[in-house]
Formats: sequence, structure tokens, C-alpha cells
Amino acid sequence: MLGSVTEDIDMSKPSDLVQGTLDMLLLKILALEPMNGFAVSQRLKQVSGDVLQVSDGSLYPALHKLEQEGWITAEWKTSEYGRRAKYYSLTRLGRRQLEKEADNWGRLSSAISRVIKLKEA
Amino acid sequence: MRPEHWLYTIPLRLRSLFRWAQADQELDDELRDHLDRKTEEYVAQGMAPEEARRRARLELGGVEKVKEECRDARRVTWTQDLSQDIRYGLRMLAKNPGFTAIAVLTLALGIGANTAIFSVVDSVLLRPASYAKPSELVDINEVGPETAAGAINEVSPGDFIEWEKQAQAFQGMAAYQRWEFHALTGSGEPDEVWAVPVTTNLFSILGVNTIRGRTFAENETQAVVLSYQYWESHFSSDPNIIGKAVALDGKSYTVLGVAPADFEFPRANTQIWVPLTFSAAESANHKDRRLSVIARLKSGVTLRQAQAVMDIVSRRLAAQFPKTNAGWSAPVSPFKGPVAEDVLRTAIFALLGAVTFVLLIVGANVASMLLARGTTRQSEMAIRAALGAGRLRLIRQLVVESVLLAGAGGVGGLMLARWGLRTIVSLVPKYNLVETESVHHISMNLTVFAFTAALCLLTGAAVGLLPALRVSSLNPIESFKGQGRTSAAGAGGSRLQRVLVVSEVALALVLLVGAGLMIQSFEHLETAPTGFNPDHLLTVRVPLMSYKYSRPQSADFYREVLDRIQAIPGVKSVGMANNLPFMGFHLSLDFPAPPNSPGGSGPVMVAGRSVSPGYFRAMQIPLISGRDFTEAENQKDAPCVRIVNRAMARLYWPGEDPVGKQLPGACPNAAPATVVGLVADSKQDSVDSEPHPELYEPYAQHPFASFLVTLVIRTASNPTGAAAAVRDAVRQVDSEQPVIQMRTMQDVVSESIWRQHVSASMLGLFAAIALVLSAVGIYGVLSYSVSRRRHEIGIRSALGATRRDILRMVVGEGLLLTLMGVGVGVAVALGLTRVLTGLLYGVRPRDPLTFVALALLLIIVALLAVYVPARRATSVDPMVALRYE
Repeated sequence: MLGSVTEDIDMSKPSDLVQGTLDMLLLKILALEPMNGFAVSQRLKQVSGDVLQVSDGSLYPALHKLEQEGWITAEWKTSEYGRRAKYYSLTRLGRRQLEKEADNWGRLSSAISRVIKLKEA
Repeated sequence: MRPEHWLYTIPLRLRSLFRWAQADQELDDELRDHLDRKTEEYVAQGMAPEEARRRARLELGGVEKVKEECRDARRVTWTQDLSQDIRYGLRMLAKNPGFTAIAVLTLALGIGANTAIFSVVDSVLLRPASYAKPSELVDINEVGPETAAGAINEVSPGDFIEWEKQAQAFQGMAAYQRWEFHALTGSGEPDEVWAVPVTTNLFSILGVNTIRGRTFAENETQAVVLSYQYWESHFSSDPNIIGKAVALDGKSYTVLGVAPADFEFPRANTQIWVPLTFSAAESANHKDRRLSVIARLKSGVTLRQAQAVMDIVSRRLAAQFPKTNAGWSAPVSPFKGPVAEDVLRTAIFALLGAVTFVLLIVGANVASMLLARGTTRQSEMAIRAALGAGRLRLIRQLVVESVLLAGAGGVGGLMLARWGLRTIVSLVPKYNLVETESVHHISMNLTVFAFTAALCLLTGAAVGLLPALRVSSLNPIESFKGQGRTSAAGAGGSRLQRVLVVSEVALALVLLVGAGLMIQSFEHLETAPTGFNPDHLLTVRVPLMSYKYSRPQSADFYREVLDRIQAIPGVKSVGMANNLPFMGFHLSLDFPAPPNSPGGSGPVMVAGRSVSPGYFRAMQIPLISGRDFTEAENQKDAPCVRIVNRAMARLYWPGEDPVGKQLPGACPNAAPATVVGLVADSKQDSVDSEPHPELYEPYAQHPFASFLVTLVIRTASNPTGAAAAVRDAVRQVDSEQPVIQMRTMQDVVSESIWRQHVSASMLGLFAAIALVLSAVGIYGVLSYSVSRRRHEIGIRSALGATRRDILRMVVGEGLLLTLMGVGVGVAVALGLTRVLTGLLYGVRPRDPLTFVALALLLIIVALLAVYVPARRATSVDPMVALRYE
């Protein structure tokens, strides 16, 4: 029978929580300065501690998606150690998108925290 | 998405699409770089290199998997989906060759008809100008104190020369004169050419160059530029034509160049351009307004500024030459080429309307076919939907299929259009150059191809969208359960089909009525009395070479020609006139109104014709009283005599015999003429016009418009048999004499109604297509309905319904649809046939007989189309039908 399929989704993986907001985090990180993929993964760990574990495996597809959307742009550059790497930087569209998502996120998180407080009360 | 967004993403997508390999290489590099850095970091933390690399890889989680995910992220989905849809669509179409063939053929008819008529519109009405920067070109005319409101005058040479000198707003100014007719000799058969005198700078002002040779140099006089068409037809596209000499009216000219094929200045059918120069006397002539002036604005100068400049110049001229220029101004207007005349426009618009209807019928038919097929494909769609295809995706796939059908139809349509155009052009008279304009040059150019391509896309999308919306909106579960049988959704689909069929029938009826009226009108025209007998009559133009013959000499020349032709065996009689009825020209004289005229005291327009003795006999225009002219009346100092037609006699001497009466002012020096004969009325302009008052003169007494001189030769048998002998007879008198446009009077008459002929045949063709297509549509809907109702029919006959009952049920259903369509069609036709009024002759636009007869025809054809599925319904075996479950 159609329609009776129960969705069986494991809610325990921390990365799933991040998935929806990963785009926003990446945009935020790249808003500070252009950097390559490796540096992005380092920074991500650094800023979020161990709470948000973004695997290297999901980082790159996410970056490519953002590039395809026109929010970030990539450029091959030679680093200070004479090493070629692909550097990502935010575009004007990306900045706008970041503002929009940060805004949404702010509203969503405050709404959620209100709901949580309601439950506790 | 915002356009700005596209600006960023489109290049990226294109890169992903076309630079796939490079993008992949870069992805490779990027990931390797990541692994290297990660490894280095672990090594720096004190890990063994082997172990460090392993950790790094582990954390990335499989290089190939990540790569694939990255590729997914940049996949250009719509293009790839589209190519998938196209492949799938082609497979589906190939799987149903019968369906595909019928749909493509139907679409080809619709698109072909539209392409053909659009080509006509493009060449005749739109006429893309072949000039450089046409927006800078302006016409300048003159308007005087006596010019009627809204009218304009031509320009005098003196004014033109002053304008050219004084007006600073223009890059240049050119003048040209109306057509002149010249005898062209010295190259092949002597011919008559239609020449336009133009100032030598005309080509450079238009920005047009020759395709061979060059245009006129300043002050060049004895030189000509040939039109492409004349170079092709008279000089057989001679590649060495440049520099050769031809004689125009006996004077030698050098061929300078050949104009491009699309250069039609000032009108189509211009054969040759000659330099227009002004003598000192002409340059000072401000009175004789006979030039057309075209100018090119300096860049940046507006029409208004140019007008201001011309106003100043006009005032200056008025002060300088008050006698000729006081009160005259020079309006500047954007340059417009020749405008197609009304009857032709009406005919073209009628055909445009007709092909739109054909296309609508085609669309309704194909949509109905797709709808029927869509219902059988419900299960397929349901499976796709269940597997996760979105509604939009399903619609797109179906629309892609119908656009593919339309594309194939478009290819077929282009071939049909080519054939159709050739037919149209072949119906256009070759010699009636005045009226045919650019109809000869109709061709399919890039604009037409773009139109056809757009039409295919549009038709495909429109035709596919409706069924696609229906099919995709079905609930998959319902479809699985119903298996395409009598479900509610299916009923909705067939309701839509019925609406389509009713509209088809309505459209077909409108077309049938339009075509019926046009065809009847054409038949009336063909058989309408003209006042003369066109059978066994050969006509040929023998334009007078006035540069060669003085007036007495020309009388001798024509008498000798007529005598020789009269002597040809098989020739019964021969006559000549300075212009023949139905040739596209109308020579008229202003005559003082008769006393007590009902039309007031203004001048009366009277058709004038100079004829030879024997003209009436050859034309078989009955002489009612009095006598024909005599040869003696062509002699010098012969008494001034005239023959009148009945309309003229009625006007001046109502109820009296005009023979012997005096006609004041009809002769040179305003002397009165004696009427010596009265002839019956004959039509002058066209079959559908009424005869005007007409005055006949002995040809040597008033030889005006002698370039149009035409001989009429009545023969005992087939008139074209005498053609060669007639040509020889003329050439024996003068070997340089052009003998042109030889054809029968029947051809002259039928060519004079070529517009009606073309419209009637085309409308007839389109109506036939519409009739067949709507019959196919009715057939399709009913067969489909019968096959879907097998079960119901089985139950009915199991419950005792006779074959007759079932037959009546199905036929009744078809008849109802047809009658509804006929009803709507009659209403629409009553409103629309009015536009045909200008084209109709001898039949009213709302002729009840036509309406009834064609409605009946449509109903009979529809019943035939209904009969086949109805028979099939009666043969349903209840046992089989019920088991079919």
C-alpha cells in the first residue's frame, strides 16, 4: 500500500543537525577571508568546537554547490609556500544570501528556544 | 531567479556542461591538495606518514564518493533532463508510427499553410527595406495653397535643386521620376523596359551597392543600372554584361551595373535605372512639379529639426519666386516604400485569417489525439509519479514529445509551403506589372524560417500542454485502480475532447463558408459579361517607338502593320487601341459636365481610347447605330469625329440617338467633334467594375499613351497559333519594333482577376483541409469514446438494446457535437465574412444558400466520419465486452 511508508530516520547523527545550516556556516566563514577547502575545514572545527562535526567528505560537495549557486567563487592561487590551491571567496550574491540566512536562523532559533522554554515551564 | 543571479550562474553551468574534463581535473587536484595538507598536519603531530595518510583518507570518506557528490552538486540538471526527455520522446514516437505519422502530417498541413502565407505577408506587406539605416531616410514633398487636405504634390526640379543647395539638415537628397517606358534594342529581341530616371546620387543615399559593376558617377548620362530580375530574364544573367552597350529609344547607353535582387526602388518590377539630369531651363523651373524626393538625414538630426530647416528654405523660395512658390511648403515625413493596394491587402488578410483557423483546427486535432493517447498512458504516468517524478517533470516530458511532433511537422510544413508558394506565384500574371508589385519575388527567407521555428515551438507547447496538464493531474492511485477505464478523470478528458471537436467543426464551417463565397464570386467574375468577346482573340503590345516615328509616320506604320496581319491566313479581323481594357491602366479625360447633369457642374471623368477602324469588329463590341471610323479619318486634316458608348450617350443625350450630335470641346483647340457612331458598353477596368462613359477617337487624331498600343487579332481557330505569323508581320515593317506580351484575351481577362483567383484557390484548399481534419477529429473522438464504452455498450445490448438503438446512440452523440459546432460556426461566420466584402462579386457575404449548403456538407461529412465507429459499436459482442474486464 502506498502512503503507509513510515519514515525511519536516525536523528542521532550530529552532522544531520548541521546539514541545513552548513551552507550558512560556510558562507560565514568565507565572509571573513578567502580560503581553501582545507583551511575551511580547520576553521569549522576550530569555531564550533566538537559540537559540529562536519566530515571532510560532506564539506567539498557543499562548497561546490555554493559555487554553482553563484554565492561563492573559486580561484586557483599559489600560497605563501609556493603551493597551488583552490581558494574560495564570497560573492556579492553570497553576502546577500548570508544576511538572509542569518536572519532566518536568528528568527528560527529564538522561536525554538521559546518553545523549549515553554516545555520546561 | 533574478537576472543578476543568472549572470553569475549561467557561465558556471555552461562551464560544467562543456568543460567537464577540466572541471573534473580541478576537482581531482583540489581533493589531492586537501589530503596532502591533512597528512602533513598529522605528520606534524607526530604520526607516521603511512598512518597519517590513512587517517586523512578515512576522514574524507572515500575519494570517489566525494567526487561523485561534488559532480552532483554542479550537475546541470535541466539540460541533461532535456536531452533525456528528447531521447525518450523520440523512442515513444517511433514506437507508435501510425500515431506519429498522422500527427506529423496534420501539423505539417497547419504549419505549412501558415509558413506559405506568412512568406506572402513578409514579401508583400512587411517588405524589409534593403537600405542602410532606413530610419534616416525621409520623403520630402510639396504642399501648395490649392493642394487638397491630406494630399501632397510632387516637387519641381527648380525647388529640388534649391533644396539640395540650401538644406543643411541632410547628408544628401535624391530625386526620381515616375516610370518611363523605353524601347530597348541592341541586345536580343527588341523589348520594352520599365525605366525609372533617378539622380546619380540615389544609390549612395540609399546605401545600396550593385552586385556587379558600379552605380552612376556624378554627371554620368548615357548609362544604365539593370535590375537583377531583368538582367536574369532579358540578358540570361550574362556575366560579361558590364560595359556592354544597349539602345534605349535608339540612343546608346552603357550597362554600368546590376542591382541586388531585393532592390525594388521605387517599386517592385522596375527593370532599369537611368540617370536623371536637368537642363538649365529645367533647373530654373519651379512650376512643373513632377519629381519625388528622398533624402537622408544627417545623423542626430531629428525629423522635427529637418522640418524646421525645410520651412525656412520654403519661405526663402516663396520670397524669391512668388509666382510659383508663394504659399508652398515642404513636409518631411519618414520614408515609406510602396503600399500594397487594398484588394491585395484584403485578400492577404483573409488568407492569413484562414491559415490561422487551419492551424487552430490542426492544434485541436492533435491535442485531441494526444489527450486520447494520454489516457492510455495513464498507467505509465502513474508509475513515474509513484517513483518520484514531480508533476512539472511529467508535464515537461509530454510537452517535449509534442514539440518534437511539431518540429517534424515543421520540416514537412516547409516543404509544403515551398510547393504552395510556387503555386501561388504561378497564378500571378507575368505581364500585369503595375498591379502585381512584389508578388513575383515571394520567397522563403530567414525571417520566414524563424517564424516557422517559433510556430513549431508554440504549436508544440500549446498542443501538448493541455493533455499534459490533464494526465499529470491524475491521482496515481486512482489510475492504478481504474486502469484507464471509465474513471472520473477519463470523463473529464473526453469532455475536453468534445469541446475541441466542437471548436474544430465551428472553425471548419467558417472556412468553408469563406471559401464557398470566394469560389462563387470567382466563378461569377469568370463568367461575367465584359461587353466584348474574349474568345479567339490574340492580343499583343506593339508600343510606338515615338523617337523614330512622327505622328503621320506612326499612322502609316500602324496601317501597314494592320494590313499585313489582316492578310495572315486564319485572321478574321484585326484592330488596335492605344490601350486595351483590363491591362491595369486607365486613361481618362476630364470632360465638361452636360447641361442639367445630375452630378452637378464639375468635370466628368470619361474613359478615352484611340482605336483603329476595325477595333470594334475584332473585339465584337456591337455597333448600335452610325458607323465605324474610316481609314480616311486618320489622315491629316480629317474632320474631327468620335464614337461614344451607351453610358456616354445616356449622360449627354438621354433618350436620343447621339449619332450626328456635336460634342463640344472634344477636339484639339476645343473644337466640337461630330459623333458618328454609338457602340455597346464594355467594361474598361476590370470584370467587377461597371462600364464608364467612354469616348473613342480615330487613333491618329489623338495618339496619347501610344506606348500602350495593343493589337487585337480575331482568329478562326486557336489564337496562339497565329502568334509567330503576327510577330513576323510586325518585324517585316520594322525589325527593331518590340512585339511584347503576346497572349490571348482570355488570359488578359483571367489575369485581371488573379487576386480573386489566388484567394479563391487558396481558401478552397484550406477549407478542404479543414473539412478533412474536422472529420478526422470527429472520427477520432467517437472511435475513442466507443472503445472506452465497450463495457457499457455490452451491458446495454445484454439488457436488450438492439443494434439500431446503439447505432442511434453513437450517431446521435456525433451529430450533437457536429450540430453544436455548426451552430457556433454559423454565428462566427456571419460576423466574419464581412471582411470579404471587398473581394466578393455577385454574391453577398451573408448569402443564405451558401451558409445552408456548406453546413449541410459539413454535417454529411461528419455523419460519414461517425458511421464507422458507430458500426463498430453495434458489433460489440456483450460476452466479449463484459469479459474484457
